[in-house]
Amino acid sequence: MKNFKLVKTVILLFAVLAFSNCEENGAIQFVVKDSFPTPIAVLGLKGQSFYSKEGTADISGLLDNRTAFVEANIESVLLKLENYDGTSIIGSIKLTANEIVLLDEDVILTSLDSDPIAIPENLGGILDAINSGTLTISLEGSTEQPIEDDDFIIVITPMVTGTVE
Amino acid sequence: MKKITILVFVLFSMVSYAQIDLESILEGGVADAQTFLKGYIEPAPTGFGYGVNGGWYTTAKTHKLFGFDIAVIANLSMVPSSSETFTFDNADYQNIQLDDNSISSAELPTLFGSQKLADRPLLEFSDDDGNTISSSTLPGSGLEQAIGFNAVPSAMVQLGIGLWKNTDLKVRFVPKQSAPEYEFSTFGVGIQHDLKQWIPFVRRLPFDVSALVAWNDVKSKAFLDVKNEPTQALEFNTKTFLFQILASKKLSILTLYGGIGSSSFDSDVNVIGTYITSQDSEFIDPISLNYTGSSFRANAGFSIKVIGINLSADYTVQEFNTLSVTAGFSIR
Repeated sequence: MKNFKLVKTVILLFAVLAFSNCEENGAIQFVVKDSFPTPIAVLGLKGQSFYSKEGTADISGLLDNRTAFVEANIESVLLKLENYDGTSIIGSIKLTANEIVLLDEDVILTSLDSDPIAIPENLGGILDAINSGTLTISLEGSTEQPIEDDDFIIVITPMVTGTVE
Repeated sequence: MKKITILVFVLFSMVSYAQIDLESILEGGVADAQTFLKGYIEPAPTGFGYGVNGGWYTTAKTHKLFGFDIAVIANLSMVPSSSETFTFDNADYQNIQLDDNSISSAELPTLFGSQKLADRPLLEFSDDDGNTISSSTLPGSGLEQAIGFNAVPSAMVQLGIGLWKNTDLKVRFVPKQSAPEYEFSTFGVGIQHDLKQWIPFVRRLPFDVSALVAWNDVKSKAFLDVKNEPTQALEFNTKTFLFQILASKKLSILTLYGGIGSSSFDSDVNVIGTYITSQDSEFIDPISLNYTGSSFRANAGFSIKVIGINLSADYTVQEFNTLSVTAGFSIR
């Protein structure tokens, strides 16, 4: 019986060592980065030089298997045209996500993805919205030349980076 | 006996603490997952393999006929700092790449590496449709931060019995132990033979000399999610082999001992069961890894007899240095 107690003590010592506090500073964190192409249809505006549209980005994929977001930001945005009769749209664009203006500048939209447009860190925070799994995106643009198509799509691709625990 | 198996499953708990998200790793396909996990897990089976070879002896002196000893052995194999990271090279992977396009390889933490975000580069996982998602690579277990060093524990129960011609038979045996979360069994045998008796001038020297060969087979299985995914399990089977020339000197209640020889292991780590990724790809028994290793080993230690109990401690220098302590009793 004495020996058995000794065994038990050794085992418990090992187990306690191995099981105790195996995380450095609280919960282990992961950075997750994903892009969410969001098509926004632009209808009936041929000949116009202003458009204002709204869409919803489904970012629920970012929530898979994650328990809590510590931080979530839109790091950059890609823009492109789909099914547009002309070659490009040149003009200014104002992009709002969940009522925060991310972008307000001159751009050239083509059928190819634009270079990533970096969003300043202080603007891209979407922590409050992230747990809903969706992101409301508003788009306002003015064009140098009249729009050449009545039915096309502007694809906005926010690159979302989240720190999760 | 059930308690003894707890110790063996410390390894599995370390895997669990590392929060391996197997489905995420499988997003990159089985081949990439195999390559990744091979590097990530490697220090665990390596340390366990070398650790299990510890504690086979605490003296070079063999028993008299039918003398015997029983001992509980605990080993800690120290994980060297070089095993806290492994090299991830984009060229070795099809669907997993470093998110940072400016580099082609990077050092990632192993199971015994860092948990800090800064030490864990982003990896980009792609599926066959070109969809990608990037995520921080897996963290280490955090064991070093918890206890001050990285080590792989193992434990054994051993019986030694004296036979003819100054030969000891050593047996390690735990019959299959089953619980909802794990299964475990081990069997090992060793033969220790006195060499002094055969060498004329050595026979007169005031210390003991013997040789030991030992083989051990450890089989274990941990069920990863008993309630929700009862088929998912981690199998960990290790065979070890040890050859050692030993010397010891008894000084009253104290015995000093040491030896040189070689240590080797052959371990299989299998992830079995059905796994479904977020892209609805199904994988059955997806991971099968094999690890082998061998190393020169030299050790030194002491044993002391206190109130009928033999206590010993020794330190072995080998690829993963190992501290072994034993407690037991003997009738020589």
